[in-house]
Amino acid sequence: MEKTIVRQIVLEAISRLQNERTDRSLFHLIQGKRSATSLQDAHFYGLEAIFGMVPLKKDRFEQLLQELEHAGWIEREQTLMITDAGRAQITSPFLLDDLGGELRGYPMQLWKRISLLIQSIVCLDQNTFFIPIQQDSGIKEWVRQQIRQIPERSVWITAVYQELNKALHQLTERDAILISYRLSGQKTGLSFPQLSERLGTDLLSLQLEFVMAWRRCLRALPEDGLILSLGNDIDHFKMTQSAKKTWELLKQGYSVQQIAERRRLKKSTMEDHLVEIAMYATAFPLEQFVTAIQYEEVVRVSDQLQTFSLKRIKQELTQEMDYFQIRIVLARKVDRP
Amino acid sequence: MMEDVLKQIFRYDGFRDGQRQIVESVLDGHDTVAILPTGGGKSICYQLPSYLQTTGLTLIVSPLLSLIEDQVMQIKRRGERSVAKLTSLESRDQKDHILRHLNQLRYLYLSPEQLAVPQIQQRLADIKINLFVVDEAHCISQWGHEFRTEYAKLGSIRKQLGNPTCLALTATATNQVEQDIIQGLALTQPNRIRHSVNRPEIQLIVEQTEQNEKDAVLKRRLKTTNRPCVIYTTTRKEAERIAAFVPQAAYYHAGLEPEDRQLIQQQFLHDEIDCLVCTSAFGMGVDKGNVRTVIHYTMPATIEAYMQEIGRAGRDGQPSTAVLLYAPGDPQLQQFLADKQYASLLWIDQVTQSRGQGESFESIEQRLHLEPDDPAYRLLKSQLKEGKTKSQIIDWQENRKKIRLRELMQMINYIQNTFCRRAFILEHFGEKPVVQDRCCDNCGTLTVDEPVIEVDVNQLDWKRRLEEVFFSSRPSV
Repeated sequence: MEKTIVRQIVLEAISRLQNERTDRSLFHLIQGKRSATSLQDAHFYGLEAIFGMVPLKKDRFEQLLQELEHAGWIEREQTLMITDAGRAQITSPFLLDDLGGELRGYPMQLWKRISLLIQSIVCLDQNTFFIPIQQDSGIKEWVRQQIRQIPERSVWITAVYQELNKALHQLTERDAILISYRLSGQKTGLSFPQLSERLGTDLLSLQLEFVMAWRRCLRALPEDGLILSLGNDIDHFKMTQSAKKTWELLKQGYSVQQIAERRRLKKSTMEDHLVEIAMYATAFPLEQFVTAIQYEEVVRVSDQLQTFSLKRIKQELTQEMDYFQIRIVLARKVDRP
Repeated sequence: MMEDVLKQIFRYDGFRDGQRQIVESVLDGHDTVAILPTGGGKSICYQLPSYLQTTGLTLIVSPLLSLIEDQVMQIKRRGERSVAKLTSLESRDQKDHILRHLNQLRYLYLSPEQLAVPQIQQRLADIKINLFVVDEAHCISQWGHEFRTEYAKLGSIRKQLGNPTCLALTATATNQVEQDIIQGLALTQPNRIRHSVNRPEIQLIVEQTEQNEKDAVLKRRLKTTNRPCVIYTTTRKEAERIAAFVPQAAYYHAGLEPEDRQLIQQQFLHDEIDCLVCTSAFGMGVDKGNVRTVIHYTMPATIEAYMQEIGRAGRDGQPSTAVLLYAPGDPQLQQFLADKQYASLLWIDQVTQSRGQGESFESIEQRLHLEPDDPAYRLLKSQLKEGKTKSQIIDWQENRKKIRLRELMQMINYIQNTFCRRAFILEHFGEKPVVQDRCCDNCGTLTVDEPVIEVDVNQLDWKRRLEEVFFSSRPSV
């Protein structure tokens, strides 16, 4: 079976899940479901980058798993497992790390803004009729505001062109093609089906390649440049809104008990919030929830067994700890970028 | 006076056929039914009167979001800011803002669903409405090919708004449909302005073949008809399959990502591609003057739909061609698709029974795995909400199916008929036949094109491309 990009990415994800999660967990991950479990999976198993970044429908996802299983690359029982043959297909560095899921919606949101702004300014400057390539009314409104703030269109066009041109020079030929041929202005961008035909790649792989190329392009753009400054206000916090509120109160010095009462949160919800905060916040009052000895032991067991399975860790512990405490430790244990 | 407005605001030197009559009729306060062919300049008819009235709003009901978007954009482009739209795309805040500033508006575009919202009706009832425009008015008729349940309420809504003068517009309507429009909108002694549906610049061709020969016939046709060209297919899969073997073609259907859809439309409008293979999702509101050929790979379900789709050719008045490919088995496919738009007896049975026991729609949907967006189910749901009984629904559906079958038979008659095709269509719409050159394959006065198809052999080159996107007027280095 041919190793397409989408197959490879799914294979990489399965290998990172260490035979500890189900196909449903993986589906929720790639869909970007903001539930405590999926967020935790993304964090523990090093799959932040894939979070919400693979546009697969349920039936297509199922079909993909069947193909991988059929090729003998994975096995599906209770959990998803990669076989030796499957592992042999994976080459380092992993592709999936360039998908940009850790930035949540930021890269694509910025793409929508910048692609519509370029099209609008270039066409307005040349006085040519155009169909806006983005239909999202929020994006269109944002672009309308921006257009008013640009005094000299031709100056802006040249500056953005130069910035992009410079960034694309730092990328591979193929990445540069993917980005330049999706842009519209005096010429209109190609649709994904058109590009996939020209480049001889299947449609879904091509869409993922584009996402990765754009992510790399964002890294190559100057941080204080015109393009990146257009995305300064885009929210890319990983924390859910609700957990963020809890965090704010925690920072103001309220106790967990007080916050739960004040926000009328159930114990389990409160715990989910705390795990989220432990995962994403730079500072966290860990000592409120576990002792140093408890922390050491969970880390040791997890490392020894090479696992994030709460159940297996709990069985090995010598001291009494509940699942929430183990989750908190694991959340802090994982290196934060 | 009218001419001044036409020139200053719309930048036209003179009225086209029928436009003046319609504008005058509306300004005199007469309800008006206007049947104008596609590309006949409908929008002027309701946009112009507003400038000759001191106050009041022109309200336009239109069934298609793309059409509304397109119109609003065109109005804004000519510098008119006091226009707004209420559709499913606007946020709550945007809608609130619009409703609070209704009296500052000249035009308001609405989908029929939005007009049915009670709060919106209340707000509208408080202000002066000069003109109540119903676009694509044939959707009101159960005899029409595009019947829409929401349109059935327009008559009573208009009454609640104080019976403002009404202008009903459509491109195609038989006498029967025209009657339905008048009754459905409760028009009083309306002026009826009808223009011939004939499009003399389009020659009509039907080519009969076998299913397994169709692709070959299509390829041959493409060698004797000019581009830009639109090829209509019935299914998305078929559009993709055909686009793969036709040189320099791209496909367009509702299954594409929104961004891809916009890109393809824009490419076609800009002549960057000259052959588009698409389902009927393409076309509404896309105003491209130089389409030379429209080919139907499979027959549409009605003559009305056919006229509307071939009407995309030759809007610039230059000679154009419409080709319909036909093979045994095509009508069965159409009938299958038509039947799928209605709920099966089993569904009707199960859903009415569960509703009878007081179960909520949501719970029924989950239990029976019904897709809330499935048109057949949506129709059933809205009928149940209107309080229709099971037998009423079944009767209504059977009746609808009969109508659709009859319409399909008319389409087959058009194909099988051995006399003048143009005369057949004109007669269908209650018009007299005409004699003209480049008429149809049965009359035998056709012209043959010798298209030059340019194949883009350029390698993908990002540096050149990036420059072309930003500054194409500058010669490439």
